[in-house]
Amino acid sequence: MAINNLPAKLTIATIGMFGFGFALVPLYDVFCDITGINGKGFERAPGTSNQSGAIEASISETQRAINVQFIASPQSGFSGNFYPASTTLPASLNRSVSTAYFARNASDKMIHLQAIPSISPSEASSYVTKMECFCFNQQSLSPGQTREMGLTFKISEDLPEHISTITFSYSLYPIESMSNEETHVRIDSTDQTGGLSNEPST
Amino acid sequence: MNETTSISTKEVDTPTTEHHAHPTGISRWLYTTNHKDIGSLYLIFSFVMLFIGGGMAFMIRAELFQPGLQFIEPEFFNQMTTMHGLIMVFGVVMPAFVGLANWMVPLMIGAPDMALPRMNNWSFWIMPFAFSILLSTLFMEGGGPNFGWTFYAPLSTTYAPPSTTFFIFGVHLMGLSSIMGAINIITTILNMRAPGMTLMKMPMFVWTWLITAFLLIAVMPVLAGAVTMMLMDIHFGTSFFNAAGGGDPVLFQHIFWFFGHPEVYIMILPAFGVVSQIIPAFARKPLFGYKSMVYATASIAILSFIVWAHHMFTVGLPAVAELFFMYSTMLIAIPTGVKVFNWVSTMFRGSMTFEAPMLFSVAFVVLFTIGGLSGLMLSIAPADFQYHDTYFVVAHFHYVLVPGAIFGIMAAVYYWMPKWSGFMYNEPLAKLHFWLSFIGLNLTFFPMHFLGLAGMPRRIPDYALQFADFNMITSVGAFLFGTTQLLFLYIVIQCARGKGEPAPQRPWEGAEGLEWSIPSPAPLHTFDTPPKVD
Repeated sequence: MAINNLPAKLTIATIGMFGFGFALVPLYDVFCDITGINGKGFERAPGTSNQSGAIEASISETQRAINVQFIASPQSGFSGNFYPASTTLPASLNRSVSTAYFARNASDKMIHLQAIPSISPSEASSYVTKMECFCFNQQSLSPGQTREMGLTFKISEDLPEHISTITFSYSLYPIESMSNEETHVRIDSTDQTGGLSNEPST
Repeated sequence: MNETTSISTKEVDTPTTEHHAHPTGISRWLYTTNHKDIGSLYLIFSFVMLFIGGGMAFMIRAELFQPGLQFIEPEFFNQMTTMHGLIMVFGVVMPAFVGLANWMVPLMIGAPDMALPRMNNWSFWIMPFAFSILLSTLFMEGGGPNFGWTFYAPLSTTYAPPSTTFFIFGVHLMGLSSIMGAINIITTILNMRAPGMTLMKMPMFVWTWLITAFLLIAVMPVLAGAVTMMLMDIHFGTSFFNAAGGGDPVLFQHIFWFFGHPEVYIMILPAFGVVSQIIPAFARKPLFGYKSMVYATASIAILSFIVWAHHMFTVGLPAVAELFFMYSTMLIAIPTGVKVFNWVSTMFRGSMTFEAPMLFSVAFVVLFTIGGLSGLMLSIAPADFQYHDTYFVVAHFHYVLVPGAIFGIMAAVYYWMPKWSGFMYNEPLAKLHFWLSFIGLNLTFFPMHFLGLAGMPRRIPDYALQFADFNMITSVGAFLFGTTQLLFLYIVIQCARGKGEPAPQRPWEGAEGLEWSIPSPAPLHTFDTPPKVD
């Protein structure tokens, strides 16, 4: 009737569950990636599995225009301005669109900034491919400097019919206290060749 | 109790204390490995914490007696709401149930002691240290934890007071204690049952604790992981919950509630067990639907792992997730309804008497059901957008925890106290205690429903004028409920000091179970020879 070594087994279960708590971190990201529900929008759009997102604009001359809105949210601790070049843009499907955000450093110190993106509705995020985004890298601004930060993206033609407006939101965080190596921002800051292998915020 | 569990009284063993060294004074308690001593220590500890946590509730309700700021600063108010929650959850309800398990599980299954007595000693003696650390944060620079008992990051990391590190260490210690207690209880129940006591003959209280202990092992380590991640975010530059570093604050809520929802069942399942012992005893009928009780408890425990995000309906979950968590949450009402039905059916046509344990148990069934129904209202995702973070939520979880867990503990104390102390408690005073508590708690928590529906947010030190009347009623009720517990303290002390009639071996006419086959007070060592259960 007695179960051998039950305390040992239960201790192993405890340690296993402690590990499971940490495993939830990558599991959560994988789950969000698969379902596209966290609105990060770094994944390649489905149906465009060809290399490099080679602009296949000629394939379909979709006339459907999507209204793209841009939101900037400077976070606490950042003294300066952060705003999009334009708050709304029309975008055709399967065509790359380029715009920019501006950040100005109003302090008298060098600052480092990291933008965290979000796309709303989250359903649309898996149909957006960002070729270039200032959120891929840390941005460093010297005192008083204003920087134009580029953003190039493409919206897949597979975008569901009922979505007519997509909002890009960027939260800008000052990360001045950390050096480049210690930031643990899981962002591949060297790869800008089409943004396909970029998987920031895993 | 299952009617097939009959006790052969011939096997009753005589007190065997003289075989063992019997340390006295402080070292008896410091070094004890006796399950009864450790059970008493847990219960005393929980009682002390009840008054500390209750004192904090007093301050909260005094501040909210009238609109405006009267007595305490908002910053201190936040520390009070946070500490009140932490102490009541981790310092009162959980240790009290572990104490009851220590006392009663070996007696109910006919075991001589817990399976791992030394670890038992250790898991108790960690607790005073854990809570000394937690309470000491209140006197530190920057104050104690002020981010709510749910300690959502980044409020508890980036924006937290420096004392948070001590809070994290305290949570680690109490988690360690709970896990060791759970390992001990599972091992005792699975390995040390008396011959003939099969799993399906175990008393309901033992069953609910077995399931609770598995829940503890499954989720307390996840909580430990969450606070460890907080620690790393604060001190080691990681970004688990820091959006600027690529982390995600919503992830914290997922991890926390993956622990937090099973945690609420950890706090209520043993109370289910207690009333499942008491109602049959005072209705003088076997428990209706014993097997369905067991299965319902297990179902609730399993479902508790897939409903956590109903605490997070407003964080921006996709509609599919809202629907999933809404329906799975509603599903829990079915096994819970089975249990309520069984308790009511046990009472139906029973020959009932209403001594204090029964009064608390009947109130448990009625008031817990009210709390369950407001929980069903909250489970409706679109409606939750209105209720979220209002006093309606506060009313809901106090209705399931105060007349649920706390009344369950009080019922258990009155029910088993004669066995522990060897004396009957003062029945008229206990009835007075019940009625004052019953009136006080309803006066306290019922108006909170209206406050919440009218839009009063939780965790605020001041409020708009239209909430003034209900808040005053609530505060008056809280003062009544809180002061009444001094009466409880008096009754318990009187009974423990032997002021009362000597208790017979089985003081309750309809009570069944192995614990009533030993003398009152229970001798230090029982069941050295296992009893036989047919």
